[in-house]
Amino acid sequence: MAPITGRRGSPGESQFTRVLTMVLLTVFLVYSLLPVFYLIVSSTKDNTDLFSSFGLWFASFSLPENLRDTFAHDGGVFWNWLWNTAYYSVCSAVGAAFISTIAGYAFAKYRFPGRIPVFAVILGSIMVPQTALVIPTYLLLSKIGLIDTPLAVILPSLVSPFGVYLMRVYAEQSVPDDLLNAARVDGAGELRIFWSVALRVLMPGFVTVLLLSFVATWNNYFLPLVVLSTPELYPLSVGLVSWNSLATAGGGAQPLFPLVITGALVSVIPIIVSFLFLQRYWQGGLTFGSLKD
Amino acid sequence: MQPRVDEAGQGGDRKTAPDGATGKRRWGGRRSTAAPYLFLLPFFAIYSAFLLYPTFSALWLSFQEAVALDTPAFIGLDNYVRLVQDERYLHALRNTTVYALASVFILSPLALAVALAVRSFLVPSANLKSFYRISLFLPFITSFVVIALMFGLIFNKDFGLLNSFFRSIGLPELNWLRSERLAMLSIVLVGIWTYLGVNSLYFLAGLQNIPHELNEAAAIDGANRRKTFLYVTLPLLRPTILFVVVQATIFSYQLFEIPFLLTNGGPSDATLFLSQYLYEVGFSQFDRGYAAAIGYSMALISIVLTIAQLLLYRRYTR
Repeated sequence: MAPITGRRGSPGESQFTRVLTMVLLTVFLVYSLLPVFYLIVSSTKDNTDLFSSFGLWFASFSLPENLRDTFAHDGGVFWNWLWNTAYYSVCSAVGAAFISTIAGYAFAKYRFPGRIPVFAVILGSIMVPQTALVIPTYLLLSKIGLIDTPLAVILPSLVSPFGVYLMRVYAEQSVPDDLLNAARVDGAGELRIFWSVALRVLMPGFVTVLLLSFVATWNNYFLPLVVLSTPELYPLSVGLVSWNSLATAGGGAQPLFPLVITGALVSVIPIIVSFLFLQRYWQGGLTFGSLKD
Repeated sequence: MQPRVDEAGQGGDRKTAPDGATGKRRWGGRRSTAAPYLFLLPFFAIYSAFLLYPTFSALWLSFQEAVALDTPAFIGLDNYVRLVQDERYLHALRNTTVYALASVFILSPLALAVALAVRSFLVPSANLKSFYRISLFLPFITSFVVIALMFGLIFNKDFGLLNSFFRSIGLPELNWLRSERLAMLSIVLVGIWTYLGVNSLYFLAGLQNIPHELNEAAAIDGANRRKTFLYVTLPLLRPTILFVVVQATIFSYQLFEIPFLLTNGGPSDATLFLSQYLYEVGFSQFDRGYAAAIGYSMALISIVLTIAQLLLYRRYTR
């Protein structure tokens, strides 16, 4: 922080730039936080206040009722969605993190023929849009009879080319060759070296990939939209959109808007909590790609 | 870009970890040769099934006429020829390109501005600092579905936040999502909301890499802030700029959820993006061959633009 303080008094600094900076930062803060604040305030309102009271302040405090209604509506299907989302995300995240870690480690710590071109192909596949792959993936899943099952969401979510890239760079930087060689001299097998020596050092990277995959699956909408058709199997994303379409169409006896909004809020809470507790892994994971240049 | 980085990294590594390591590995025995393949096996099994296979299968599909349950027939490049003549496709391509231009020329410079502001403005307390960090991250970790629900309410013509604000300061209410003139602007605003923070983080990381002495040296030499920025900071930030611009371009051409959920491509296709057109062709018209060709055109556009950006980068760094 010290160098930054030093710069404040530098000769080129003018009052004008300082004011401009402050204005820019304030606008940015408001722009980023206001929509979320709006969502929080809206989730505390009943259907009447939602459309009549001032959007950015509390009116009737109906959050408990909204929560109760959200979880009770349509035979408690929201519980299913919440559970499904957690189930899909945990399975995908643990699987993807493990698969990426061991693959990235292999790329970083072993020399074998074809290593460089194969790695380039993996990286290049980041450029292929998910939408372009979804039709063949759908056809493949239906051929092996997995359409409309949890595995249809979990299996494709295990592929994380970015995770492999991240773990490769991480392993290169954090696992010293000497450590592995010392274990080899002691007669440990390669699998055991990975499991009891390297994995421990790779843990921060592992957690980063775990977190990124968890959030990616938690937030995924397109894949489950295409491969699932039973509402009881939906994750929150697809379920909430289905309620929202009903709400917009104005059908049904119960006003659905408060439920959609409360449900949306409930769906982001686990992600925000995971962010708050695991901040450093987030920061590491996201800035990695650009730092490497 | 990344393969290039990769080569450079390897070259360096190999030279600094010389004979000793390889010698010891040879000493370690022959069994180690199977290990890397074993370690890559789980990834490759999944990767082949859900990335390589669909990639090639889609390529093959794009050369076929495959509609609904009819038996597919090989038709060569006909699907691609059809693309060039399909006005709806060209319209979607134009819309997507407008969005991509906005992310490169509006979003990316804004992100740089925010990064510079965050860096130069000393945030007084640690609490405030984490407040900023949360606001940088929050949009990025919020799902597209929640973003769309939230902005659907904000942009709502009758009771939305934006129009009630406009009303209170005496401006006319606007139909943000349902007018042909404004719908794309609304999508761009939501796109900026979603990606501004994370791109600022990329720039912040890049700025952190610039040795502070350079800025100080420039200041001592009498350069003012503007000159220091133009002749010291900006040139050194080129790799980060390249990274931000390349990923902004790629993700723009892949964008699906925001327009699909907010405007569903409307009104009258004013916000029809390529990915949604692909989805409609594939899953409503069941024209799998043509949908695959649309997908490949999207991937090709990303690849060509990435290469163009790389060449531009090389030209200006020499």
